[in-house]
Amino acid sequence: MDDTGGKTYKAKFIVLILCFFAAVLVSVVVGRFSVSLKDMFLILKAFFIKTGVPEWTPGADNVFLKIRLPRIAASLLVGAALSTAGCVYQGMFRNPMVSPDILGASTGAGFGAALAILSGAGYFGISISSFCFGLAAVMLAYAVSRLSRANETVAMILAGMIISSLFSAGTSFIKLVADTQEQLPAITYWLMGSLSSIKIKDVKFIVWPILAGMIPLLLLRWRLNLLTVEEESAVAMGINTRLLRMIVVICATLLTAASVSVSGMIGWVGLVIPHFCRMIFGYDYRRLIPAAILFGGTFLLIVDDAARLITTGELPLGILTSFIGAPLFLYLLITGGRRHA
Amino acid sequence: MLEVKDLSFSYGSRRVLDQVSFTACTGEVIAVLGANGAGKSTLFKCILGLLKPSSGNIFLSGKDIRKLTRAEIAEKAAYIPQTETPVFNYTVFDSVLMGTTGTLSPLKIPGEKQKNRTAKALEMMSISYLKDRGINEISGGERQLAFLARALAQGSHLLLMDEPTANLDYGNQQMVMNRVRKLAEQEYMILLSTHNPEHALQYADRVLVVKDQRIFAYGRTGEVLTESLIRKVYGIDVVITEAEVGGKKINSCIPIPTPEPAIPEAVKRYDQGQ
Repeated sequence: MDDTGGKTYKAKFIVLILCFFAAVLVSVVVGRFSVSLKDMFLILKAFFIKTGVPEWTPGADNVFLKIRLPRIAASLLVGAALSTAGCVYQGMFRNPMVSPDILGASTGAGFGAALAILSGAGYFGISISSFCFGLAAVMLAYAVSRLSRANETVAMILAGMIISSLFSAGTSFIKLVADTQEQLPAITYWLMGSLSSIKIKDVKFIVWPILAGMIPLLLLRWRLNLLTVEEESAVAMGINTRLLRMIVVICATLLTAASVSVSGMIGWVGLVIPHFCRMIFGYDYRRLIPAAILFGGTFLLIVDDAARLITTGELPLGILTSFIGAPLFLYLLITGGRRHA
Repeated sequence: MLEVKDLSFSYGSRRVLDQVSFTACTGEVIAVLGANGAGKSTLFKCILGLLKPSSGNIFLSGKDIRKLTRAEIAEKAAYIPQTETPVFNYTVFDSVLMGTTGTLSPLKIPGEKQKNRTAKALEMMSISYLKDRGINEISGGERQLAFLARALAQGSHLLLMDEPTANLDYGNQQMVMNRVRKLAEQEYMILLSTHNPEHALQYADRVLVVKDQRIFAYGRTGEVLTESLIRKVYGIDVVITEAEVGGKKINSCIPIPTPEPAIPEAVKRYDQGQ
């Protein structure tokens, strides 16, 4: 932290962390079956110390451990992953309008999910297929970009567009041939993005790739700043920009593909949250990465609570993030010209 | 000390530099002149190790750059790009701090040592007062000084500046050139490309002229930068005059207006509908 801003940033981080925990507690309580904080405490105590007699409201343990907790964990992980991925991509492509799916991770994952649904794979099979295709799409885009002789970042964006459009064409084709009674609605609903059917298994599945993507980025957080500098200047400063970019692509892809594989397409989080983080915490990745993790997680958790509560059914999360994200972005667009020093 | 020996470079089959050789010492400002596309930037990029020469050697403080790592080259030579507006509005302090990254091991975060170097670099450029401002909120001239400070924080004593005064207003141009001059007195060596012979005349100890892929002229400014040289390089007639201000001689270069504006051949052909 630099000398003058250090204290105010610390205070902002404390507020953000408090919001984070408050959001978690609220999310535990709210829902069709309310779990009181007292119940939560008792259940957790029993879970860890294994006391004999259950003293909580009957059924609360099932709701809390099997439904609410996995869902909260998944929202936090997905939100944190998407906003971190967006945050590093925006710096790497030196373009604040970039979102995590720029290299085709989301469309690839969407195709993988659609393919799995078409071939009748089970719930978990869909996640795995989606994750693998997300990774494959980016690998393909990266390979294509290396074939081009254009500037590396431009080549990557173009390759990402090519691969994305190929995979989305593939998804459309699958929708066309899918059985309209069962498969087509399943695919459509999946693509809208939702965390309603999250299970502990899903959380266990995505937690590793997300950690594997997040930790290197956290460790490299200072160096990420150098990617925002003009390529030649950064190389002349002694930075191996190609290696650094490759690490960023791998990490961001792990984050995005893992998120999309369990949640479906959730737009706007990876685009809008980094902007808010920059507004509050400045441009330095030393603060930006931790901020994006906390802010993204908290944001998606709150939005997911809304998705659970607004209607008696479930609102697809992707729709809600767009409804919230678009006006927020409009606000940024209008006030963005002003300097917030 | 910089030594370039028989340096050749080609983009594909197009030769840009052909057997270029020269040496330069610390404590000097060297202005690199030449028409657009003469190979000035290519020369800089070869010295910085950004481009691999087809043949020839470059020695930085006696060491062949081919035997140095990226970070080692960065410790010896720094690059100051044309003033660009960065996309992200980092503070001036953080922007300069980035210069210290090359010597830092990859997972390290700049510590006290790096911050002190940054503060010192800002002080040397007399822009400490800007440290908390956004890099996009200061003037172009100030930004150029910040980039210079970044190069100083990098720790290298050879500074390569690509048209440092392009896009700057008149006052900022002189301000930047004055600071560059002062750096030379502090044992830095500055190579700067420029399109303005005035800057070479007023601020450079030596002039290096690149033309037809070769070094056309190299030597002390007063001896090399003559009216006939400018005529040969740029195809314009000038007169170099001398003024005395406070006992100091200042040279200036004035283009002679031609009665009929010289229109390049290509434009003539176009006008004639050929």
